Amino acid sequence: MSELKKIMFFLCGIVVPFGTAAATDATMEIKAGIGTGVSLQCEPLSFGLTIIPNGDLGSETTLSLDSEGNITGGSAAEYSNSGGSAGECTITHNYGTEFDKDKIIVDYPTSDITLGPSAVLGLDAAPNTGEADRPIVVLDDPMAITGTAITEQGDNEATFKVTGKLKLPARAPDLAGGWNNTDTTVSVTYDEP
Amino acid sequence: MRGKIRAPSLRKAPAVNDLKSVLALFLVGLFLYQLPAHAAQVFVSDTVVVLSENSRSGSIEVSNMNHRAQEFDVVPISLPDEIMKGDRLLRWGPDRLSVPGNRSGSLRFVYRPIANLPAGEYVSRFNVRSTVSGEDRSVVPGDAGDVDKAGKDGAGAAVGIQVALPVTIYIRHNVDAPLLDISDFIPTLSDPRSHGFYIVGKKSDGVSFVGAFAVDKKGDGYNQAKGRLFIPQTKSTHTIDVPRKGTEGFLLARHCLNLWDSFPAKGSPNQEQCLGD
Repeated sequence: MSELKKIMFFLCGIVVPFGTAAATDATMEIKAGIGTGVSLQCEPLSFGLTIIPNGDLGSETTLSLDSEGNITGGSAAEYSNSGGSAGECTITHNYGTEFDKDKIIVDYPTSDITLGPSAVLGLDAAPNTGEADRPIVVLDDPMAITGTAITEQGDNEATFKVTGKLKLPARAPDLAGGWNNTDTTVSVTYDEP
Repeated sequence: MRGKIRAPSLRKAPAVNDLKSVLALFLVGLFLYQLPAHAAQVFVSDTVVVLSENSRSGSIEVSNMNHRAQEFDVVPISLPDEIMKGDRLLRWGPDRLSVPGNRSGSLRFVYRPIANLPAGEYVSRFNVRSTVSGEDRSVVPGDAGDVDKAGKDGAGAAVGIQVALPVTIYIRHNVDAPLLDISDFIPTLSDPRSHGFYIVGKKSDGVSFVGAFAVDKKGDGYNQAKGRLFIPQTKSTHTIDVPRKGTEGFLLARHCLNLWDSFPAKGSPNQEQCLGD
């Protein structure tokens, strides 16, 4: 039983002892079940740490994060990366019926994504403007989420991974921290039109 | 502007800056390493609620399976014109739930009939969406330093994923749940994972079917298959598969398909079709 199912079991608390046992019969039958419902859980995706020894990539560079956490793109001679991690999502579905991964629809509604100009990441804000002059941008790219690679993990569980792209300016920002201050929304529909 | 952390400039000797650089790298690496601890999650007890004259209110449970508190937004995606016009055909609440760790919160929906409303089924769609908490947004301390321009420059970035599950509310105003046409059982003798299937179809269009089914071996009360049966407004048919488990012999005779027009199933089935009598 997966951790998630254990928790669902705990939450629903459906533990029903029943049956009237004779005094000499030291047995008791216990039935337990998992409540109905759907869950979706996603890990954040991380682009890892990119180090640019010379502080200059030569040109604006787009790095791609694949489902295995590898970072590729640009000239690897110009930077090194610690390796990222794709955002792994797990869907569970428990309505008694068998889970059919082909009926899962992963939605990536552009209107819900808070990426783009308002999600510019970076340091060195230009004086008096509050705008980053050398931004790091998480690209608003529908292809960045690979919602089609859904893997069935059992009768009522499936997983998929969210990958992404990161655009770095030619001159790297000063190293001062990591950023996760931007969000994207992933929704999952099962067996709906 | 979101997502911007400005570090104070600390001009110090190169050796100190090197130390700062190493410290910053360590902290960024630690931060990124720890990210998976903050997985976003949402759990809903059901994705469909049916309201009618006889059942004017309903609710779903939104559960937080993390140890710490979690907030959820309830976001309308599409609402019937009767709601958009200001007629309060449907009320719901709360718009935002704060659920302690390992607890659940209720999201309630109430149907209030309005005058002169044409008969029909009215559909409202919502997303129940996890919010990203302040803790998720935390980054490494901003005083990591301003490194030597000739030294190691770089960046780390991560994107928090908000997860959302849809919840659909069907208001049936002066219409009943549709009856279903049930096909003969269609065996799939060559499929080791299935005994076969039924095809069920709605007898009337424009109304969803939200109910339950069970396939029983006749007489022994053993459920060969059971679960929720959901045929949305826009679909007319649904296939009910009867899975074959392990080395089971084929289910060729003596079984019944029972249908209820509510989920979970209550009382006697509304429809029954038996084979092998």
